[in-house]
Amino acid sequence: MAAVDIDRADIQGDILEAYGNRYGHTSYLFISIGDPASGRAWLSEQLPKVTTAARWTGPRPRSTFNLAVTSPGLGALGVSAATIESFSDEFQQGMKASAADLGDVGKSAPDHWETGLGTGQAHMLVTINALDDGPLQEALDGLRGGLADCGQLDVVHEVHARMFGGAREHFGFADGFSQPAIEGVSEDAAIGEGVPEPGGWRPLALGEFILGHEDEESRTDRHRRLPTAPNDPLGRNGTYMVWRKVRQHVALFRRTVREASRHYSEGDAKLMAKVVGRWPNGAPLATSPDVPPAHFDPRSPGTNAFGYVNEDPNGFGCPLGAHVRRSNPRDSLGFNGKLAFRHRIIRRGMPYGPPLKDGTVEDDGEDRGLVFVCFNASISRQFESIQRQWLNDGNVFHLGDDRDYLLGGTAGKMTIQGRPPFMLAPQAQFVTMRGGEYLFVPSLTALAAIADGVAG
Amino acid sequence: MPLTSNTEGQMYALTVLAPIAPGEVDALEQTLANLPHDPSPLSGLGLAHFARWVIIPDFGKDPSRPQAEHFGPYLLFSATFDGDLEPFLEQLCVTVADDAEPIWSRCIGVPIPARGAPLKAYLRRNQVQTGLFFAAYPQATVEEVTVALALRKQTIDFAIRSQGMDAATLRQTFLDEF
Repeated sequence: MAAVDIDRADIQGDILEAYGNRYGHTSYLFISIGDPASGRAWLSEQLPKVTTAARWTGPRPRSTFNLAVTSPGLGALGVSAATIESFSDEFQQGMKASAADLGDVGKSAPDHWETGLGTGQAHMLVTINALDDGPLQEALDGLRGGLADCGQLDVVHEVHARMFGGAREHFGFADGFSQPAIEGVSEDAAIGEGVPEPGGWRPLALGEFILGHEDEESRTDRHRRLPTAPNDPLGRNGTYMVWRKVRQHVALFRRTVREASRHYSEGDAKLMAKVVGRWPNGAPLATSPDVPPAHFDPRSPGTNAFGYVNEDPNGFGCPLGAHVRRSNPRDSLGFNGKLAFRHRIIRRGMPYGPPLKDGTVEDDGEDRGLVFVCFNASISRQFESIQRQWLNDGNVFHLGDDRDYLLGGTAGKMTIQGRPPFMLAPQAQFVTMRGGEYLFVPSLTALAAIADGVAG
Repeated sequence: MPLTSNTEGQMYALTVLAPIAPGEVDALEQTLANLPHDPSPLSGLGLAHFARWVIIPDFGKDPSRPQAEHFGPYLLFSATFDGDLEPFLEQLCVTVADDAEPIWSRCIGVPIPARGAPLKAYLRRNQVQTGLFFAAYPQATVEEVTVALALRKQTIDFAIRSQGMDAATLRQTFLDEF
């Protein structure tokens, strides 16, 4: 196969390589566009600010700036209906339309979402990463000033997230380190994070994550076209983005596991790790089944170089229904990993809200959770399949109707494989969906075309 | 050689193809889209394991031969169910007739009202013989599957609650519940 040609200056930043690990703050602001001319004028002014995937030669910028757009947003910017129809169905219909399939029901249903989300009013998403408070404030002031100058533009929802020490999320686990290995980007990580093949692992095709490039289907059959993408000039070097604000009920989670562990001989810390499939420091249970390794750095190479078929086929280390094993089953579905590798996503989540004090099991009433962000070439094949088939159902893992226990839900239970096995009863939800959107992250070329009103 | 693989174990696979009347495709699409999912009217078919209605919009149209003759839209109904055809047709044409009538009545040649014995005869005439079908548990009836699932749930509930029980309590609880 030819070397992958990646036009980094045309692809927005934070997709292929994470900013989150280098920036302490991430702010998300959804903007509503009152009329197309104002929207395009504002967008034109933002173009020079947009951070690309080009490698930094000097010191990293104090803040970064990225843009994504919803389907109603394309319309609000004056993109024609015919061009919008060239986008994927699920993107056009929006996350709200998929709510039932995604398990966003009951208290998580769109009727209960926060202001501005799922209403058609969230048109563009601005994502700002900043080193600390100063640059963040500067960037936010600049943004608000620019919006006010253009008129007809309002912030309809905003979330200010920040990284915790050790990149922990609120339940206490290092998050975001396991990512797909991509050709031309992260080939070193292919073992365990790419595609298992008889001769070893190889990285995934770029087109699984960036449109306009060969994906895993076209790479094996040269007669097949590139994966479906929006009409030119919007299709190439863009990608789809999933944005979900998920409240985490940390005290409830701790209380529930502590209560259940009264009958679990190895204690609540171990039980919690079993639910997740990793130790709090990020070490996988598949490779460190008994105790957490004392000096573990999730960033060091090779920490995710494992499969389940050889290491832990029966789930005695990492349970068959553990969160990380469900969301990325690697080779565990058999068929040499072929049932899993087309359902990978690039994750860029960040926690919001203050952490709950260590050891506290009483709710303090604070709103805290995760802004889940992922990038993929097909929302339905990648993100939605993971959510529907792997997290919200257990059938493919031979786990009946067991759902992912970490997300909770009233269906099914969780079995911790062992001698004897231990079972967690179905539990109230540990997370509540607060709102979300499906977005498109245009290339720099595409952003300019939209701003100039020549996107079709 | 005629295809006659309509049965596997005690299961029967029915396939029906009915031509949709001219101009009725959109209305039929609406009717199907508006059917409730929970509970589905098909859940009234007590004998059925699986059942579906599918609109085939351009039956017989080959995109590589745009000039070739084509046969218009068809309604496909397929179902797998317990036992013989007749009791199932009874459920389909009588038990769920109120929901199914607005669907069948958009097909060419269907008796009006599209229910009861005349509809049964129509469906038999439009039946397509099955070549091969897959049944994961060909000997198990719907009722047996339902009972097994309930037993599974009962067993799991018991297993969860009994964790940490001493032997005597465990024995007594088991005897009380099973």
